Amino acid sequence: MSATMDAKKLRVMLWRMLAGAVVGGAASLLFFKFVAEPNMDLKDPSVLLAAACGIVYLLIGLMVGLGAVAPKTGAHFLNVEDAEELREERQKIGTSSFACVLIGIFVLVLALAGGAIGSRTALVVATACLVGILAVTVAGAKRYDELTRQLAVEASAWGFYATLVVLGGWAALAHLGFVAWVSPLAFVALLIFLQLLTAFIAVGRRGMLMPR
Amino acid sequence: MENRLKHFREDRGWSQGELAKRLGVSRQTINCVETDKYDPSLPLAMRMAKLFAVTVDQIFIDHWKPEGQ
Repeated sequence: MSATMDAKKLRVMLWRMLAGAVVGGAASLLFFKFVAEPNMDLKDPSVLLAAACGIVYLLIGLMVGLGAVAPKTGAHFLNVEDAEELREERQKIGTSSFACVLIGIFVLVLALAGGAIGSRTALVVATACLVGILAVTVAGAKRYDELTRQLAVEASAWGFYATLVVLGGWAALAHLGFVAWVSPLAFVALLIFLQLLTAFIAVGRRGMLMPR
Repeated sequence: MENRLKHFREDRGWSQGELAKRLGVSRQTINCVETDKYDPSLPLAMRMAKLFAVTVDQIFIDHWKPEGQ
């Protein structure tokens, strides 16, 4: 590949990252201003962590979902060759985005519990989200081709080791009395945050975050 | 692993999407194989070879040699 092509791809990637940061930042600000601040106890670090984690998943899910329903628009900000590729992959992308949205709602509902909504309502919604995540993931996995399956395996392995080191290490230190143990909400938020982070690591290690 | 998939595909005048459809995989898989980001499974490599009517080692080039040879 030529140096000019590399420079162009890098520029595209930086622009996409910048646009993602602006859109994500603006949406997060609006969310925190109009939803989180009035309804959540943001002084609690675990609620703040869960809210941040939830909004990230929700935004990713919505952006990818937008790509599935409006391929022409999606081709501008998703890492695909053209809109046609999004049409070809619509079902797979659609189920992935739906799973992301459900994970986002799951953790956001937990963050809202005890404040804006009661624990029982939160339990019902969170359970429905978990069942939905499992159903969507199982249905979506049938459409995976071998590259997607391989990436899922690699992301899961990275996720396991990250969880073992971060949460396992933290638990060990807490057990020994060196640190305080995290709240159940922070634990859930950290689990899904680590999975997202390691999914990006797995994809990035294969050079697949670079524009095509 | 070095490969000549792009060469064989272009020789047929197929796009990555067209080849992907013929092989039953995603376009991204073809792109990743061509750009050395992903080595396909043996069944997929065999299918590629059958499709282009060549042998697997004509598409995939492995420079490894056993010790002492």
